[in-house]
Amino acid sequence: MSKYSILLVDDEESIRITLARNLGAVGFEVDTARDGEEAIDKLRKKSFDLVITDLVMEEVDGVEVLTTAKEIKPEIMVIVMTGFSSMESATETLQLGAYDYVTKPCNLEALLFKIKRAFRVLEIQKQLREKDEALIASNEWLKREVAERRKAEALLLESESKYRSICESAHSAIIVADEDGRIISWHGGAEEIFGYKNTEVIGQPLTRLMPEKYREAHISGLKRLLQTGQSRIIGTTVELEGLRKDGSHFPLELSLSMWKIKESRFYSALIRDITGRKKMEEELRNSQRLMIRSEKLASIGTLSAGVAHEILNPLNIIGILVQLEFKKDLPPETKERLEKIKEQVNRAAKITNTLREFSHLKKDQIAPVNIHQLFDKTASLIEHDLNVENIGIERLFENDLPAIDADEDKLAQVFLNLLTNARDAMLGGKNNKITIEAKSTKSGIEIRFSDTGTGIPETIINKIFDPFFSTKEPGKGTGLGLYIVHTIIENMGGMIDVKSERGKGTAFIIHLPIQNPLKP
Amino acid sequence: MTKPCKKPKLLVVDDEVEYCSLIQECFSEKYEVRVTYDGEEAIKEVHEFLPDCVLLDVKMPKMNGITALGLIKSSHPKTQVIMVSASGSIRVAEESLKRGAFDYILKPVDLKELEDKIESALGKPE
Repeated sequence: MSKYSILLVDDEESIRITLARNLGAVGFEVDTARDGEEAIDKLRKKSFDLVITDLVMEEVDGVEVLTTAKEIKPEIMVIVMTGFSSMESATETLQLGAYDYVTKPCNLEALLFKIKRAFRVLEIQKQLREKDEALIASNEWLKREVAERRKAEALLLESESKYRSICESAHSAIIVADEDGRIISWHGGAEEIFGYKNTEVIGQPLTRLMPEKYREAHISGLKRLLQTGQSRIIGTTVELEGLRKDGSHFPLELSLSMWKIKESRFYSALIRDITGRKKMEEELRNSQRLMIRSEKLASIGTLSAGVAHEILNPLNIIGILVQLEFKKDLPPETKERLEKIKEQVNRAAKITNTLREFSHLKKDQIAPVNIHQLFDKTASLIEHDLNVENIGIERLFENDLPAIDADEDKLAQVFLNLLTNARDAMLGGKNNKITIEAKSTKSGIEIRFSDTGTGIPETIINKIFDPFFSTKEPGKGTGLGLYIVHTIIENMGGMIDVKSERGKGTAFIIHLPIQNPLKP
Repeated sequence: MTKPCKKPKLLVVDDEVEYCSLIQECFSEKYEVRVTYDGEEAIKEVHEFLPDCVLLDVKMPKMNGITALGLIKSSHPKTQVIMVSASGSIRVAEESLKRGAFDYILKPVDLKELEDKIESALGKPE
């Protein structure tokens, strides 16, 4: 009990001393004050748990002690001692906050009982206060927790919307699967990429999204991962193929990651449709190939231009010598061989000539070209040959064709090569004709060269623009004609297409832009 | 310009000596053939020899065939010139015809074709 301290206030010394001694004997820690003033002074200096004060004192009375003590320490217990004459005042003090009162002369037993009860109240109050504090603390903790949760929720919302915006803007599919490989989440561009709606795929195996050939590897990979925790593709980005709802395959890029919640594993896949990228890569490779090819040929051309003259003159002499020999009376086998030498001379000359033209391909002289006039000029060079072969030529040109920015010589070369090819496809036939149609389009003109010749077999139609590809008899073609056509048109920023039907004929369709990209 | 009693005159102009002598060998029975090896010589020879037909190479030292052609045609418009070139270029062919060449033949020459062209040049009405 000694943990509680008592201040005893009475202006009658005998009572003060007796009571203090008795209370001290029971084990209380008791301090005393001889009047109200001293009591207040002590209350300010030291913390007491209980004040036992006489009510009637001179100057500072018990009421003032009571009120001041309560002011200083609201939870302090005050027991007032009073004579019968001031009973009324004693009950009033209860209203002022006194815990209890005792009448004088004091019954020690009664006072002790009241003191103990007061301390019991203090004890309970203290426990209550502690509980209160705990409650307040836990309340604070809860408040903090709530605040933190709100903050986390806000962060989550923010990251969710970020995540969503990433998903939506990246046009990537974000697919989450459980450890059995079943789809549990279908986000981002998944629907757009694969064609399935959310409801169609949730719970379905991932194999649904992959072509047959990948399924086995996927299943065994998943199994291995479950057993050994090893995976070849987690944490990396790989290029695979995907299977759309409509059954079509497409190239995709897959980044796979794995995460765990408790004992369960989940996989999230970030999938990007790379059809466009693949196409661009392919185009790049093609144009690189073309560039290398045309550079190779250009250098051959430059070289040829330098040596063409030197080669053609000896060839010319060999040719003439052979022809002069031919006039002599010689055995037929010798004549046959001489004929072959002449053929080979012509073949070598033709290739030399054609190759040399590549050196001319370099120097573009671009000016507006009138297609009507250019065609007249070109056709006149071959008209005689066409007449000999009984090949008609029909020209269907729109009247107001715009002028085209081009190197006139090169464009003439294109026309001539296409006309020559058409002629060669119709050699020895009957009622053949070449139709040339020209019309203006949005950005330029379209010219169509159609013949009624033998047509090009499907198996070789992809090769006809390759250099040194020829179906003509040895010595007749160089295999460069269409390659040159293709190169010239591409350099002009145009396009060439071919449509052919076996036995019915071939059409070359060229699109030429009005403005040449090479124009300075 | 045909001269029935005399052989027609043919001037061969080319810097390839071997070619010139072969053409000479080939056509000397039919024509009176002279050869010369560059453009400047050709102009002189046209004035002196007065050929009916000239076989003119395009690429030659001193003066090229196209320039020589222009000079020949301006001084002797009745002389027929056949351009003989190693170049298959359309522009050269066009330019030759524009400057008054009778025809154009590519090397390596086909003797029969060449003879036909010479004949039609010689037979061309004035």
